Amino acid sequence: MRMSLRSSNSILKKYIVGYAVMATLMCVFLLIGIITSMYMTRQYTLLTKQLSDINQLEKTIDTLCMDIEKAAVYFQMEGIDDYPNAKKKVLESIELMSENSNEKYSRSTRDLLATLDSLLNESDGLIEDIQKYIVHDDSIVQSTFLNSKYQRVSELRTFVSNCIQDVYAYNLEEMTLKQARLEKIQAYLYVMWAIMLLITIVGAFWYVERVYKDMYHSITELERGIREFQKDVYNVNPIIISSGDEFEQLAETFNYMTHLISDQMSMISESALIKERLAAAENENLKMYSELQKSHLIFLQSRINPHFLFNTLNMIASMAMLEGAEKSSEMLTTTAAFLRYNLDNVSKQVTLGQEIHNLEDYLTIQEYRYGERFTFECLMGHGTEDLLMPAMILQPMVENSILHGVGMMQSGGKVWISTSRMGDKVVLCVRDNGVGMTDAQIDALSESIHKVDAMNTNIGLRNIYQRLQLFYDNKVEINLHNLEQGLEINIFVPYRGKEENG
Amino acid sequence: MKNKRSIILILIFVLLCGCARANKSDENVDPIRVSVILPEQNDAYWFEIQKGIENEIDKLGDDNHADYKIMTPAVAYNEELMMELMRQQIASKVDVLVIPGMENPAITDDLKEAMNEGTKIICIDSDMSGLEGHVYIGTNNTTVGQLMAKHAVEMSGGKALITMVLGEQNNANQQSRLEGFKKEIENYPHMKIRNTVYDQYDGATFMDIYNSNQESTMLVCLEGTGAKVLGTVKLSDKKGYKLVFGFDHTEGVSKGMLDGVMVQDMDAMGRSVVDVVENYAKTGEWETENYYTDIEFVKDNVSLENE
Repeated sequence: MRMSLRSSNSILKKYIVGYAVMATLMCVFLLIGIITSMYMTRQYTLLTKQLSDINQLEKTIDTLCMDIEKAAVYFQMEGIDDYPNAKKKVLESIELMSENSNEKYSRSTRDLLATLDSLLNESDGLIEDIQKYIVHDDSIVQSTFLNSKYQRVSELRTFVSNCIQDVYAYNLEEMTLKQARLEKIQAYLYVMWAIMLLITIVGAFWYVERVYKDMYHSITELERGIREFQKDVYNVNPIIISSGDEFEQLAETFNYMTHLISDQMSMISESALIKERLAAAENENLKMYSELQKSHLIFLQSRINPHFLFNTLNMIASMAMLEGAEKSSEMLTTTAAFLRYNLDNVSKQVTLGQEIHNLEDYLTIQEYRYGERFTFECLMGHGTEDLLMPAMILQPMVENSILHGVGMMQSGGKVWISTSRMGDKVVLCVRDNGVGMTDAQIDALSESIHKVDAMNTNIGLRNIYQRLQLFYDNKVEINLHNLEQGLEINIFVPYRGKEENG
Repeated sequence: MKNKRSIILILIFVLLCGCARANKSDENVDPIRVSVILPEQNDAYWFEIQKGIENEIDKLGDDNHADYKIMTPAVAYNEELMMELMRQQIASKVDVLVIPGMENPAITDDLKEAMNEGTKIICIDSDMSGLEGHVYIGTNNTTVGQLMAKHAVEMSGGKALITMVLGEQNNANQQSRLEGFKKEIENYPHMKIRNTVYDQYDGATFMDIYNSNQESTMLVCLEGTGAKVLGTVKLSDKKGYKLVFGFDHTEGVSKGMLDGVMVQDMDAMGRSVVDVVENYAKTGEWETENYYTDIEFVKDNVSLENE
């Protein structure tokens, strides 16, 4: 199972994108609102400014015409003197109008300015002629001529007034049109706002619902997976999330983990099963081995009559006694007893007392063999003599101590055999002060004892242990201790006395 | 990559600036000011001319280089008011002034003065005598008089006693029509003009003329009022007239009050005004020539020809 980690579409990113889109839309709303408001304010200002400028121009024209009237009708010097200033103000008003207008002049305004120019030209001439008439030489300019000129100026004044009315009318018409246009823009804007708002709301709901659905589905799937895992590790349906975010990664990781755990658990179960089968097979082997030994002994017994052998050995011992060979007689008697015990009890259960007695026979024989090179001490603890156990357990252990321990020594060797009761357990201890073993050897020996499929080394001790385990239902413990000098073997067995056994 | 993008952005900016500048330079040129003074707005004849102007402006669209202002006096055909309007336009130094020709020395003088100031004059419908350097757009009146005579001869069999009705005595257009008519019937000895009368564009005066000239067998109205009145008033018959001819208004033909009407192309007149102005605005050259528009003779409500 391959696990891929992606972070291109994380939950954080999803939220950031959502909020960014909403923030952008809000900014667009705001921007459109500000721009439109600025545009409309500007348009209204321009319209009112244009009207205000025309009004200002009209006032200056009125003042100019009043000065002309004063000069032409009443020959007042005040009119003549004020005329240049009034004209200047008219021109300034025109200039101001030009500055304030960001558009080209309308036809009516152009007509007004051209007519005004005609008026100013004509009035300049008129004022000049009046000046000549009053101040200088009245014979140069005739009054009729002045009248005619004044009539022309008056006519132009009327035309200018008409033009101003046209300009007002035009501007008002434009204003109405622009106002209608602005109202239309505003209406469009409101509609657009409403649509955009609707889109934003719908979009936001859609987005939130999508994200929520994704998350809800992801969490539900994860929850399902965990529940199934809790119920049965081996039967978890894979979590399927395709949200493209951390949930998907989590699901993939979870699926990978459950798969891994399931595999491991299967392996452990299989291993345990195999071990169980192996143990059963080993038990079967031991039983078969035991049966084989029994049949082998029976076979030997069928070939050599042990009673004939024991009677013969006892008779030789009696003859040796009669001939004065006391030691030979004792040795033959001990050997006969040892053999009788071994041949009679090979597949039977015995008491610890019987086993110790047999061991003493064995050690007596060995003392004859080894002489002064080693001694033994046998101490049977209180309450242990009735312990039921398989025969031939202690003798092989002591034999090992002699062969591999004290047997190597020329003198001073000693073997201690002791039994003791510890609660519901009995400890069988064999200790020697022989050459002992290294720690590595002890470890190897301990390992080979416990291994079912060990090689053919340390067969004696392992055989003792296996037989005891078989007898005491696998409740036997064995410890090997390396002493300062020598080796100590302790075997702990559950107490099973004669009474208990029935 | 970044550099390439920057170059593209700069190029777009330069192009946009260029376009903006080009547009601005084009917009900076003020359109020429054209003032059109028409004697009446409600009358179909002048209405058609005005529509012709407006339609041609619409047709030009953005290619129009002139700013038109169409005016009519508060009182229809009032020469005083028209003159005042004209003087006002002259005072405002318009570039082109379009007016129907009026035989009034004062107007002629004012127009001459305006022309001296640089204003171009277009006479529409009627020409003006004594005015040099202007453009005339309208019917060729001598030709139309001849055509009217041809149809009159043809329909009368070359024999008629005719009463000629004109609007006013000093109207140059109608005088030309009369001259053309007279010239054409010179070859027909039995076609005789009994009298020439003037209705002053007044319906009542025309009806007086109509009623008081029963001795004539043919009535020829060389102005539009006669045909218009005959198309409107309820008369049982043509009285003593065998044939009655009129100008521009065809309603009387279907009523049987008129035997033929010479119809001028008013729409073409209006359109020609815009074409002449546009040419002047574009080239800056003022070509003083006459633009004659088509005419057609309508008989029994059927147009006989385009001439």
